[in-house]
Amino acid sequence: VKYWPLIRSALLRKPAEATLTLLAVTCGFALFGFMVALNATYQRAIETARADRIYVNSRFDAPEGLPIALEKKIEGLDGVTGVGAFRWVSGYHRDPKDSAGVFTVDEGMRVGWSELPLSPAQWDELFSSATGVFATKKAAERWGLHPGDSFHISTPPDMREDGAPGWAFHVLGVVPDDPEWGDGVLIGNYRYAENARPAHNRGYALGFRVAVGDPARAASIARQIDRMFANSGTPTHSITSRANAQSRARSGIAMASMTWGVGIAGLFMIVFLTGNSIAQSVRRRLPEFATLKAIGFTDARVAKLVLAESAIPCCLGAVLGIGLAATLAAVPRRYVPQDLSSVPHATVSVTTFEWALAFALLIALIGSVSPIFTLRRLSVAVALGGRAP
Amino acid sequence: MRLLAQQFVACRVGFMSLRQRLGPSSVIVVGMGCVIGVSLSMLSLTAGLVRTFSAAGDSRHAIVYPADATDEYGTGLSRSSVGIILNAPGIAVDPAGKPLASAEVLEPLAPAEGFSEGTLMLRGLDPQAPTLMPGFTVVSGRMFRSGARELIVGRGAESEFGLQVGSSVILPDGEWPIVGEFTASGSFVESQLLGDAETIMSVVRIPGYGGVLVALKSPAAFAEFKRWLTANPALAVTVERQSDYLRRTGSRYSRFFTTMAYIIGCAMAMGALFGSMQIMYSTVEARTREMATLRAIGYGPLPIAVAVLLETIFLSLIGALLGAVVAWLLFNGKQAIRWDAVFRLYVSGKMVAFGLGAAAFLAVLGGLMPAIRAARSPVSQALRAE
Repeated sequence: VKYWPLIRSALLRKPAEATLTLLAVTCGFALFGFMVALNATYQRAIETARADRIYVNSRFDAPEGLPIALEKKIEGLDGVTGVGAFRWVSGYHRDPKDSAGVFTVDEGMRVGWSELPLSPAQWDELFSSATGVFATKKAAERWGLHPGDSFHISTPPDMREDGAPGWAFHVLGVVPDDPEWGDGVLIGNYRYAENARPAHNRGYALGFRVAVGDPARAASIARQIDRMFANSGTPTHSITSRANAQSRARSGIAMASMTWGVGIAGLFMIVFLTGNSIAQSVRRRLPEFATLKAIGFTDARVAKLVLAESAIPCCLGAVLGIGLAATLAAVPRRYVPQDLSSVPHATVSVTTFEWALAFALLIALIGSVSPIFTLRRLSVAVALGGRAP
Repeated sequence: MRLLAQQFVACRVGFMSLRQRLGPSSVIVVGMGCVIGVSLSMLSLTAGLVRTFSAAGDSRHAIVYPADATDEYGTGLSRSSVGIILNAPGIAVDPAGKPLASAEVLEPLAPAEGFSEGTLMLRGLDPQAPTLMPGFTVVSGRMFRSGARELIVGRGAESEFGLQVGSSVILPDGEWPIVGEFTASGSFVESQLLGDAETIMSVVRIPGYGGVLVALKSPAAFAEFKRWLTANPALAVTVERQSDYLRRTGSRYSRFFTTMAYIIGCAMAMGALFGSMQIMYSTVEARTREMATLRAIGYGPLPIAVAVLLETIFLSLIGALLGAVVAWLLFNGKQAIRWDAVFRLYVSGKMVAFGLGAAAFLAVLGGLMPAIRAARSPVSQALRAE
């Protein structure tokens, strides 16, 4: 801090050049920050997908889905701790354009989908009520639902045994959102919906969620389930929740693998730029450093000065760049070009800042190594004499 | 003439001192290399996808699908509609007099353990359809037989998912063996499994076809073919040239990468632009004396400015070329997958040319202001400086 005037004057010697360098560094870090943030989002999507859950769906588009009898067979497999069945009641709410659905689940979901934010008492409430539904926060916001409200879904008349043109549900409560359901979901009682359907349409589930005790065995259990029904009329497709997220990230987005490459290219640009500008600055001011050495500055102290001089624009650029990245990440969805709608929201976090600052310091260090050695070898007399060292 | 000679000397002086300015110059080279390298790497995805989709096209082919669909991935075309479509004028016929056409259906599959559903498409087609696929060759095993529960696999699906001749695929009521492997000039069909449409539809209980691919007698026959079908009150279909159809559907796969490549490219280009401006300003400053000397012995300001600009362009082009080479080495020919399309990344000559052009443009932008400064600095003052 004592030498702040020295550093400041060095930094401001060429304001135009300093500004250009800072802008370039900011661009590089903005790119880097955005990429790291994007990568974090992809990673989180994979990490939050559980390795001990298996989705079992019909391998082929069957209108009814899978026979509910499969639930008992899957439950009997070694290593399976619970199986829950689900099926939709889908139609529209008031306006035919406002499609709506209730995701009905059975008792097995207590274990099969234990991560759902329902308390044991709420599960009891769901299964003891016929028409009760729990709305996650986003779903409640979408339709303006509060506990006690009723919610009507219109469906074609042949969807019910009694021929009624719709289903009347009532809201039991609002629960936190589940990351798997970005737009929210209404959770209802499978058994009630089953009993209301026409007889020929009962006894099916759209799919199952299987809980497995040991995540390491999940993949082999998924395989076992598929083998079990491979030769039946309704083959299943079973995949762990984690593998599903990975497969999607790989084939659908293919972006996660690029983020680091692009980010590193951005940093690589900065390394050369800052390295050069500090080297240039030191070369221009050799007499100044020689004077400092002449009045007793140790090599270490001179080194610190150089380091500070290169670290300040670097860190400043990093902070500005990440700030820019955070601003970009906060751009509301509707302003994002439609082609990029599959890019998730980048999560610029404190970690992103820490990474950027760490890299900024590292780059400053790399850039100042060579000038510091030049100064170490600097002959004071030669430099002060105005001759080239 | 004199101007040209002056220009040559001014450039020569600049380039000769380049060796002493290796550090600063390398910043421009590396910066531009990063911009062009990253942009081309990302564009190689687009180029690869476009190539994969256009490889399947033929200007004599047309595709017909239901009017309420945007592609052939549905099941909305009934058997009777297909019958009507095959009566349309302009369809080429085989020696036996049968129309050269294939009613097709697509069914999403999960290719292998650990893959989500829809990563692999099973295409049911007419057994004579291979004549409609450019470059179709069975490279091992044999062709599937009409009416039999068997499939053939494309080379892309084979290498991406490990589905080989001899392995089997789960379908309702039993597994189907893979009896052959085929190639089709690297087109996206190589990322699919092929089988007999009728058999697949009855087993998977698919209600209708997704589309009909037909070979026309000539490209010119398309207009009449389309008019006849769209005017037919018994049909509600969309008719498209196969090449147009593939370009349109293929761009759905690649648009994301193209947009991403340009956005990231622009962000990096900004950084490189500021960087090269900074470097050229300091270069101009370091060479003040040298340039002033030239001016003093009668050189005009224009050759000096142009020399600065040319130097920036030269360094940028070297960088761009390096970036393109790195992108080519790392990515050209690498296999990738986008949804259900297996394809190979492709760095084309056109893309490299585009990269070099973009680099030159950036160089002009970055070098212009420093060049003007170089030309404008007053001679007497410059010679007295430091």
